[in-house]
Amino acid sequence: MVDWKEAFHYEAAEALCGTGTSCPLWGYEEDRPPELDHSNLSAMLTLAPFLLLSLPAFQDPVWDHRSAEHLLNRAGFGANSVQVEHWVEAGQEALVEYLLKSRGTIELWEMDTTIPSRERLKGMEKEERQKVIRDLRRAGTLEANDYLAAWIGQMVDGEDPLGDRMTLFWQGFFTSSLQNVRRPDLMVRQHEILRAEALGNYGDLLRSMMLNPAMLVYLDNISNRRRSPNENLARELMELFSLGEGNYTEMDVKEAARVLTGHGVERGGGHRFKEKDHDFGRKDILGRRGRLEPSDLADILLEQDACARWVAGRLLVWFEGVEPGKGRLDHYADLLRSGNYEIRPVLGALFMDPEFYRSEVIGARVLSPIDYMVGSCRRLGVEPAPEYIYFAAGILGEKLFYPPNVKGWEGGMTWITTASLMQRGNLIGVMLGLIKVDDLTTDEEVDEMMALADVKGSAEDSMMGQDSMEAPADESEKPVKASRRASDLVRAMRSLRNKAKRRKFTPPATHLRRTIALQEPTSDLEVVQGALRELLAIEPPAETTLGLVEFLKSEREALDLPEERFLIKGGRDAERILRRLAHLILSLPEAQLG
Amino acid sequence: MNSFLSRRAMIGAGTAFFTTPLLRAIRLDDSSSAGTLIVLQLSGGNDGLSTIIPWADPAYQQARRATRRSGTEVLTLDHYRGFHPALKNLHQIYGQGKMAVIEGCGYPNQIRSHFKAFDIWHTASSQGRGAGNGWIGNLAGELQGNHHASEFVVHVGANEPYSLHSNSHPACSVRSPTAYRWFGSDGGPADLVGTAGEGMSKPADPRHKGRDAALAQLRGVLADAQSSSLRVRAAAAIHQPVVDFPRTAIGAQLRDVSAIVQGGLGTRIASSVVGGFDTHAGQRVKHDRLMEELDGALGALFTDLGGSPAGRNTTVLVFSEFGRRVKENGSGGTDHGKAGPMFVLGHGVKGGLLGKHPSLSELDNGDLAYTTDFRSVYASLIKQCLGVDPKRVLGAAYPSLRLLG
Repeated sequence: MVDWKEAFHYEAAEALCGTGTSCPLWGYEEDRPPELDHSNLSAMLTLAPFLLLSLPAFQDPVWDHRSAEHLLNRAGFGANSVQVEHWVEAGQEALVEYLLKSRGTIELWEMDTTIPSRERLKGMEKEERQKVIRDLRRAGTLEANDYLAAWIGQMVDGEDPLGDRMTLFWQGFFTSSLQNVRRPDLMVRQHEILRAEALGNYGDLLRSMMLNPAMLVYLDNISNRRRSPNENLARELMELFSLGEGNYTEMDVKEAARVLTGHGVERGGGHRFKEKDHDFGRKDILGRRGRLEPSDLADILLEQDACARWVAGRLLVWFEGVEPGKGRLDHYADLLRSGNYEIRPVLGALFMDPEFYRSEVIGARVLSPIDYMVGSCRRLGVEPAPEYIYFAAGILGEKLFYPPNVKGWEGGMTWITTASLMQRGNLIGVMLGLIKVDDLTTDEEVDEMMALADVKGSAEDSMMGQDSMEAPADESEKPVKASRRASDLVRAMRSLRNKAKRRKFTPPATHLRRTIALQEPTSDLEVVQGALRELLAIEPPAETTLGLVEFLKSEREALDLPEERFLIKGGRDAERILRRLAHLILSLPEAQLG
Repeated sequence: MNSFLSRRAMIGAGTAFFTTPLLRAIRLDDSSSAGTLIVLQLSGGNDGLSTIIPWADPAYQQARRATRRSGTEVLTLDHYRGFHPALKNLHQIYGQGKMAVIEGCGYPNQIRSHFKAFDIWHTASSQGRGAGNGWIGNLAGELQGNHHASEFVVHVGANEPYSLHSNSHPACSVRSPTAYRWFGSDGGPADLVGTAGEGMSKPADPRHKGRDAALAQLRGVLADAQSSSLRVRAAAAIHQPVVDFPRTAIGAQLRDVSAIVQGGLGTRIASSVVGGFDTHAGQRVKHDRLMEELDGALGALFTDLGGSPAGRNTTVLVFSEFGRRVKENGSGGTDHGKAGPMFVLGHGVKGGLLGKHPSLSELDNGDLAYTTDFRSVYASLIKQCLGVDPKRVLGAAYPSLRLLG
């Protein structure tokens, strides 16, 4: 285990030398004397010896609910208050150790890899052949969906939180897309490697990924031949997978492409090397010359200072949500490099680093769709069909196996648009059984407006399909459909239902009443506060809390339930009211951050 | 009221909300003199040489074995080039003088990576997003100043492009109008937040700067969502296109775009994206289908826009992040290239062939060299369609092309 105190001292010394760009002197800024402004660093330099004597800076930082929850949010997918309480008691080191613990080997997904063999397709008519290929492809896609859903289910269970979070990191680092690869089996196999090595060694991953079949297809290396080189993989290998832009030349890319010639994929999906397509000549890459082969190329990349900096920088942004200062980046790059690119010790140091818990970072990161959905499930204590989360994340812009480009998802505020923000709340509402398909396909407000304006509705939408059949029987009274297009939400629900022969989506059971009752609330305010504590990573302003109290009060009073014994007396009605309250809370801006 | 619309807003606006501005716009066919711009992005790198086809060029016939077309196949534009055979509507619109084709568009040191190329097209700067907002974001800022109307810039579909990015004037993003609302009982999250975080009881705490900035932005988006939800849905529901839009993804998107720009919402810039143009292999079949779908949707959009003054005052810009290699690759496809054509169409457009034709024999590393900076096209539309000084939006002056009027 890395000594975090040493890291902390390093940071403090760095601050006093004035190289840090953030304010790293105090682990918790609560402890920071207000009169000492960061802009006074030069003044502080001369005072440094005195400051060292008088400041509480070298005390152990406080391990409390806030820091425990922060770590559980960032290294995992959030937790409820009981879990947070547990880790506050158990201590920081115990939690870090738990997170870093190896979860053993990953069981390989059994996949139907029946690929259309030449023999099987021989003698078929063109149309029949196309149909067979199409069916297989469709089956493969469903299979990939099942695989991803199973993985998402694991995230909700929280068996391997850090492993899963790091797998998501690598998925956005060594990207491949099923859109281009078109072979789900290759994508699944690649993903299994990322999972197995998620907390392992970056160098091993780099070596594995540069010759990984899915990658070789995705970045066109299958057409990288001695006589007609294709630079796609070589370029991204340097730009995104190891060094970052500006740390290599166009010549290096060309030479690296020569190294990778002839490496392709065999029909069965394995790696295949074709000697006749390979360039065995001498190459010159980043100052190294010789008959270089892929393993040499990996060595060369790993030797570059830029490599450790690039990977460390991406890791810090992933976990902290902000670009690191130079000193901090250097420190973690050194740590990564000196540890021979082992990931575990670096993460161990990061999670013990008081800087990781600075106020600037806490609660300031926009949750990705997976984060939001999985985290909400964990906080609500529900386990919906994981397919639902998979589809929901896709609707919200994070469709696993389909990154928008080779750079992966951009993250941060780009997740949020007017549509996606409303949709986040809707997807929770559907999950909690508060929104039905019929609600989604009718629009009373618009109908009302159109009735007022006496505007004739546009043509009925046949795309709306069966779900609209439950609309009023009388044709003339049929409500006007707002648009010809079925919404994503309806389609997602329908695709779940089409698979319903196997699994039907039913809203998961909730136990909000029980969970909140643990906090023994006796007033509407305390119920709301309890729910906020469970569901949000950051506290909303008083206006919001009061608004929620008003909501709860009116719902409660409508059913004549007593305030002080609401949870005990309320039964199912109370549970339903709490679900509606949770829906509102998870639709708030605060619920998008963590 | 089963809605996302806040009770407070409803009470405040009263019935006036129902009669203005939306319904008045529908009844009176509001004709504002201000133009509207629709920007359609073809993602993946459209093969310009298979769109506006230089069939008479021996170099083209030589380079293209799998994708080439003969002079009898294309829809004639002139003695040298023709439209892709599937572009029947566009050919017709061009024939009416309502479509401009600008050939050889690009920029210095063109980049073959999709996302870096997009960065440059979206920000109109070689620095990409390091330069700040997207060009449409900047344009929205110039047009609105301190004001911010939530439906001023509308994106329809998934993947809102970075061009719309603006810290001060974010766009409204609609994936499908039916689901463009918060479904829940009574009020909604926006009701609980107040007006974009103003009047919060707690004084700002500088230690939580990052979190507070993120929250402020989220509250802004929520407020925009709330104020645009019903208007966008209603505009999409009430609009009765004068023509059937094809039942394709792009057809449905452009139908909604058409509804919104003609819906009296005050939308001045609309955006949509269609993908699939990255045709590295087996291009012929894929690209033929893409052209057919594009033509069907753009044809319907053009006709539908003809149905109202606001529509007739709308200009459509079509672009892609790069063209493709002149020489085909070994898989019946083409790799990432450089220059490509841009299209501008609309009822107020002055049509014709603009720009200088990029030579197929004097290539830039196997690619068409650009002859018109794409920012010239942006600049011309910023000025002629939206009436803003292009230099204020693009940061530099670019030669102007006559595209409108």
